[in-house]
Parts: sequence; structure tokens; C-alpha cells
Amino acid sequence: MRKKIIALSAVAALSVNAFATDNSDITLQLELLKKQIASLEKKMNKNTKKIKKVAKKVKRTGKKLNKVKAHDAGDNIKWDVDFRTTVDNIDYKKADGTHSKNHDLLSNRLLLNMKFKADEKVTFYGTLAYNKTFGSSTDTNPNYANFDWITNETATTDSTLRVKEAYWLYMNDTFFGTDVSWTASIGRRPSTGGLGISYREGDKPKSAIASTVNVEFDGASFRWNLGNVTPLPGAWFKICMGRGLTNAKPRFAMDGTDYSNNDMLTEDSDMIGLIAVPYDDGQYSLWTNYAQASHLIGYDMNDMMAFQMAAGAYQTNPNGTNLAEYMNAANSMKFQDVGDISYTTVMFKADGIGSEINDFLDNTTFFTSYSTSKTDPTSGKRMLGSPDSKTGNSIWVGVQMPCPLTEDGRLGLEWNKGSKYWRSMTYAEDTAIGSKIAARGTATEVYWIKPLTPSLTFNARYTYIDYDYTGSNGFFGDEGTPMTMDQAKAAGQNPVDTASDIRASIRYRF
Amino acid sequence: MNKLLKLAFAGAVALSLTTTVASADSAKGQKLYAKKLKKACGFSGAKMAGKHTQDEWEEIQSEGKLNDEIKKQCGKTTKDKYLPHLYDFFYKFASDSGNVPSC
Repeated sequence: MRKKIIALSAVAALSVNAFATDNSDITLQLELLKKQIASLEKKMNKNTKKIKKVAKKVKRTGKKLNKVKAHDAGDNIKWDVDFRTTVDNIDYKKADGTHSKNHDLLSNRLLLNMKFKADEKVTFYGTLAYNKTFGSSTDTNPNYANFDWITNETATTDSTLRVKEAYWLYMNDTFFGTDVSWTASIGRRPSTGGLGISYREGDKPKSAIASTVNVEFDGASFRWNLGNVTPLPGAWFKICMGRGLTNAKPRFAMDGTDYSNNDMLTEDSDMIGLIAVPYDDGQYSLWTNYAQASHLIGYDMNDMMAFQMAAGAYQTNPNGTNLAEYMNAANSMKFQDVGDISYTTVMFKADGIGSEINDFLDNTTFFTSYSTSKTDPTSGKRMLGSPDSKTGNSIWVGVQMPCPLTEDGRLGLEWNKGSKYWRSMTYAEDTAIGSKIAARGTATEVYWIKPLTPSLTFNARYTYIDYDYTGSNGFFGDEGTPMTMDQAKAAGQNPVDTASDIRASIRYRF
Repeated sequence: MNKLLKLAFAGAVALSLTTTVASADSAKGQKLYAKKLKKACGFSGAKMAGKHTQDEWEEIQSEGKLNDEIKKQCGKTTKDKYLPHLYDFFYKFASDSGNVPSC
């Protein structure tokens, strides 16, 4: 027992001694721990302060965002601006050798482009446009300058803002369960500035193929993309339709039948077309187009001659009798429904030549097209001066390449030739001397596009048209009769033989 | 040629020759996508751009992973020299950009 107590006491004493030695270490460690905790607490306090600061900032930012949201909520259009100032030097040489000129035709054009993606499947697009010469006009009779087909592509003398395009676009990835994506669209169509004519402006092409159609109209289009269901890469086709002319009576018609058909006028003129692209690999593409327009308008030769005689008599002797006859003749010169026309086009386009041969060819674009027009006169009427169906054709070639003088400039060359009975519907082409594509003759063009800043571009362009026949830009009746210059002179006319336009413009787009 | 036109032309030509606009270009990027990637990807450039927000495209680009992302979406990569233009295009039409590609 005693041995046990001694042994236990010895163990206890040893333990106490050991504990006494560890205790001082523990105390030291505790002191160190205390210091570390104090330091951590200090850091935490600092972080807490920072966190509070950040929280305050977040709250302030949230308030700012709410203000922005309140300011912009309901803004359901995205705008961009395209504003251009142009000076044209124009020279018409007549068949008798005289010239009609305008050395400094100055104009401003404003396009306000609108877009908004309302939901996953529907997008709205629109363009408001304004195109006006500098100053007011001294000419009180601007003829067809305000015709709806070209109203936003013609520099007029008024400052009215008109709607150039406004349409919604519906998109869907499947068509009745097939892997065919498709679109549908109704409104005022993007039917000007189409494929071909877009290059010289540095624009993306709009809907039409510009070798036959370049006019504004109201209508619809439906497109189906077949690249995923056929072996043809990038294949698609589109049906477009629209109304170019309406014979509806205006509001407050004299007989009280507002907007009803006016049987005294020509019938509605409609157009329907098919654009089919059987091949498009992103570099090379083949485009085809068939279009038909009905109930087209034109003048009768007898009405035109009576008007010209009355105009001539009034110019020679401006008395009251001649004035009355002149006005009577002008009123009698009404549009007639002369017949229908159909168009075909085949266009090949290359965005880049070859496969990475060099940078120059990679950045060169080439296109060429062959188009036909064929009239179908109404019984008893004449189209382009003939009661028979007449076919015309046109070839167009263009190339746009990097400018060798500048790093980011583009240089372009285009050439087209139209035959005797060629009649395109390209009245809205943005060429001051008249549509070069419509030329019954040869047109040559060279242009240079140079970006100045990300939003400003300079464009210089020279266009020369040599007409083989008259009537290139007329309507579809007798005023579109093709005559050689000699035939026209023999008939007492003095038509334009050649026309040139040197254009310089600066364009803001952002 | 009329004096005004000569002056305008000369001034603009002089100005043009002294300026060069920055080279990366979303329009070029859109064209490159159509030529080099659309077939492999099987969907439009707008759809490809819409797969990420602008912040996400920015992050992908800054980490040098744009070609990886293209391979992930399309099963193939593309040349490095095309990447700045493609990035510009994807960023411009990202899902939160509010920009609407042409139809």
C-alpha cells in the first residue's frame, strides 16, 4: 500500500513538474494566439468597413440603373444614322451637239434606320429618309420627281421626311417540323440598293437583285433556307410580291366612295418575283431571279404628240389660247394600262478570288449578271412603241478591290450594256444622270471608297453613259420607244446622247 | 471641272491619304464567318454571336480561348489572323448587345 502511495506520489510529482514546464509554453502560445486573433480582428474590421463601402456603392449604382431603366424603358427602336452630302458635276450632250449642264448640284441625304428585336422570332425594320437639293427650286413643275417608286432616291426641292422602308420580319428555325428555317415579312420593302448596285456605295445589299429591280414598293416576301435539307450548300429561295400602283380613290372623293377603285384610271399594278440561290458557299454564289409585273403604265404616242405641239405653240406664243390648249393637252395626257413585263436574271458573285492566294485576291469581289426583259402588250396597246412582244437584254460586270494607294480604301470598276428593247425597273437607282443599269447603250463607272474615321467615309465616282437608243428611263408605253440618235433627230427630237457624272460625297454612318 | 468640286475632291483625297481606319472589323468578321465557319457550325453568324453576352465574349477573348470556343461550337478551329475580326463580329451581336444583324 505504502509502495503504491509512494509510487503514485512520485508519478504525481513528476506530472506536476512536467505540467509546470509545459504551462509556460502554453502561456507563450496563448499569448501568441491572442496577438494573432487581435490582428485578425483588426483586419476583419477593416474588411467590414470596405464591405460597407462597397455595399453603399452597389446601392448607388442600383439607383442609377433604375434611373436609366426608367429613362429608356419603352424605347423600342434602335436608331442609326446615315447622312451624306454630295456634289455632282453633270453634263448631258445632246444629239445636236449642245450641252445641258449643272456643275455643282449639291444635295443632302439623311437615312434614319430603325431596328428592334421585339422577341425571339420577330424583328422590326424601318428607314425614314430625306433627300434634298441645297436651296428651294425656281421650277414649279418638277414632273415625276415625287413618284412613289423613287421618292426617297431623288433629290427634290422640298424637305418632307418620307418613309423609305418599314417592315417586320418573322423568323423561325423549322417549317412544319422540317429543318428548313424560314422568314416572312410584310411592309414597305427594302427593294432599292439591291445586290450589285450596293458595292459602289460600300453598302450591304438589300433584298432585290439590282440588275432588274430597283424601285420602292409596298408588299411582302417569304424565304425558305434549304441548305440543311439539300446537298446544295447555302441554297435558298424567296418569293416577293408587291403593289407599285393603286387606282384607289383618295379620301373625300367627289362621289363619296373614298378608296374605292377608280375605273377611270388604270388598274392596280402588281409585281411578283422569285429569287432562287441554288449555291452559296460563303465565297462563291449563284443567284437567279424571275419577276413579272402587270398593268404597267405608259403614254400613247398621239397624246404625247398633241402635248408636244401644244407645249411648242405656247412656248412660241404664250397667249391665253395657247395656254388653255397646253393645259388641256397636259390634262389629256393620262397614263394608260399598256401591258405586262417579265424579267429573268442570272448573277454570279465571288467574295474573294481563290483560296488564300494572297490578301489582295482574298479581299476582291467580282460579280457578273445577264438579264432579260420581255414585254406582253395589252391587246390594242403598244409597249415600248410596239404592239408586239419585245425582248431586251443586259450584261453587267463589276469588280471591287483593295485600293493600292491606301490601306483601307476600296477601288471599283463596273460596266454594263443594254440592248435596244432593254427595259429594267431601276428608276430608283441612285445615279443623278439616270439609271445606268437601264441604259440602252453602254455605261462605265469607276469609284473609290475611303473610310476617314469609323463613322465618316469619302466616296468619289465617275459614271459615263453612252446611249445607243432613246427611251432608257421612260415608262412602258410609246415614250419608251427606242430610236437611234439619227432617227430621233430626223423626227425633230433632241435626246440625250451621252451623260457623265463626277460625284464626290462624304457620308456619316454610325 | 467646277472649282468647288475640285476643291472638295482635292481636300477629301488629301485627308483620305493621311488617315487609316483601324483594321479589326465586324463586317469583315461576319463575312469570314459566312465563308469559313458557317458550313461547319450549321447555324448563322447571328446565332453564333448570340451564344454569349458581351462580357462573356470579352472574357473568352482576353483568355485567348476564342478558337477553343469556336471549336466547341463548330467542331473546327480557324486561322489566328481571322480571330480579331470574328471577335469584333461576335461581340457586336452578342446576346445582350441589343444589336440586330441584317436579314
